[in-house]
Amino acid sequence: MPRLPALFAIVLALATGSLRAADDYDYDLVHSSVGFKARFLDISWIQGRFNDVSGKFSLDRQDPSKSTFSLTIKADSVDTANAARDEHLRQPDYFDTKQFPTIEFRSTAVKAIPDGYEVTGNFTMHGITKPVTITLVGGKEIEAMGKKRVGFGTELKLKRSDFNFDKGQIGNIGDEAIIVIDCAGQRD
Amino acid sequence: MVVRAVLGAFAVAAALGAVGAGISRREPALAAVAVIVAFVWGVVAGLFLLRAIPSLPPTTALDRFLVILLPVALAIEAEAAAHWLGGFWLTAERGCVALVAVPVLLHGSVWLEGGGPALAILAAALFFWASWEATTGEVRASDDRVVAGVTVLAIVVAGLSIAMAGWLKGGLVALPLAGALAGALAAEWGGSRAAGGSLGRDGGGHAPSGLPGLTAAGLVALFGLVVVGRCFGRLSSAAALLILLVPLVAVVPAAIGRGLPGSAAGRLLCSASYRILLAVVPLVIVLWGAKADFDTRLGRLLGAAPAAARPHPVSARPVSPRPELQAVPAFEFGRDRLGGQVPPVERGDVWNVGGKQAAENDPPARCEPAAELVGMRSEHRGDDVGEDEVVEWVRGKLGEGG
Repeated sequence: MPRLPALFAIVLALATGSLRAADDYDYDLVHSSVGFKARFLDISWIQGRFNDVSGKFSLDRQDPSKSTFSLTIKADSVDTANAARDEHLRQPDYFDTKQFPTIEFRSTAVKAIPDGYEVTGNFTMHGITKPVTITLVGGKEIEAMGKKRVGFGTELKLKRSDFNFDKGQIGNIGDEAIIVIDCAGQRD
Repeated sequence: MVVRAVLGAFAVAAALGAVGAGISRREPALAAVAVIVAFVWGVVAGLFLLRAIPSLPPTTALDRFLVILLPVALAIEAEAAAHWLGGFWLTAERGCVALVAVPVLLHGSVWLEGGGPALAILAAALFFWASWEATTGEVRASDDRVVAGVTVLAIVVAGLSIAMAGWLKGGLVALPLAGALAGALAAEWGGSRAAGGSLGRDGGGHAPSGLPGLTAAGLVALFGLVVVGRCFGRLSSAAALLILLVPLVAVVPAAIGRGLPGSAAGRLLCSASYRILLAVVPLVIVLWGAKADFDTRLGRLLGAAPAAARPHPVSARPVSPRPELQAVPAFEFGRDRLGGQVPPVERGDVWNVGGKQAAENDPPARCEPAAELVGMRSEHRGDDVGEDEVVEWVRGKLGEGG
């Protein structure tokens, strides 16, 4: 009888070992960026980025459907290279960063595609959560600077009106915004 | 749209207030409630015309102010006007609303993370409660319209200050509130002229009046606007405090002024004049400060909009992240330093959007220099590229071309 728990432990260890096929990566803030652009008067683009981003992704190369991706953007870190405009964007007419401090993405389903992954998840911005599907291009792991690294890139088109942004402010700045994510992950 | 919203709010509140007061002239309590209800409908009409109807359930501070705080305060004032509750219960109700007002407005925001600044919230609640009690008590005792009048002015100034600080919707919402309050006050004044006293008051000084309720409505509206403007917009603490003090500035000298010698009419005129003056001075200071802030920040940003739409070289995204170079388009200083070798820019050029966009909008020959500069930016993306580098780069390109 005393052998039973030991056997159970061995089976459990083997089972969890097979479950732990996924590699967990931390978001590499130094080598990643989350940018955005929106049309200005429908003649040009206003571009900007978010400087404070964090995230994690877990890649299961044997079974990609078990992979997960999450990204948290501090809306307050918006940076369009113009301090006055950044202050304006933080106010309730736009991001309302005091009320909605983060922009988040949490994956719900992952599918492998030839150049990367098709990721479906919930995108939360301005207090509204909507399902989106993005194509992450990349995923090749390399070892550099003492860490294992992997990178992805994607573009996401959103309508600000879908996320309850003030409709009165949609005009000069177009409704559609393109979010460009280039993120690198690292693990020991 | 804004003018229409303000006029609409005024007209609806004035018309409904006059009709309601006229119908219920024999019932002082109903007449007093009627002008408060007229204010509510004036606000609804104004917000509708402004296309600023709050969302349900309320998700933002402005929504919570319009959907929760203001209606609850108005319900209490309607109770007070109708004499449905005694003084103690009214004071208790006002105290409860004052205590939860700030947490309700800040609900779900970063301000309340980790418990929030409890002391500041408590201080704001006590100030709000004291102001509310003091103004309604004073107005009930004296039938004084000056406090309500300066509160309308304070709401307008608060709205303009919030809008000029960058939160347009938050600021504009104040204007129909002020319009509706002015309309309801006009109806109350008209009704009182017809009745020979304050509307709803039977001359004995004990019957309910609509004036304290409207004054309180204005005060609550002012408090809510200032709190959301300070915490979610960029209204400064000093401006917020000055605006909130305005109704009190109008109340305190009124209480002192009653002891002055002279005829009642003379005292009233003298007291009203200097109280309005006392209230207007801080409002002018706040407005002047808001305008100065607007000119140095957002005004420059908005003023740059036509310039950006004008054909202008590489300016939407600065070549250099260095602040001192951000406002200087690379091509502009490049043009000066290169002795006019760069072709002039003409209307229709979209130099600031990158080579692709420029090529879509303009003849390729005219776009070429901009596209090349954009190319330089992409080569040096993330680098600290300054004027010297740009000039050197353009010189190299022009040399190659020649």
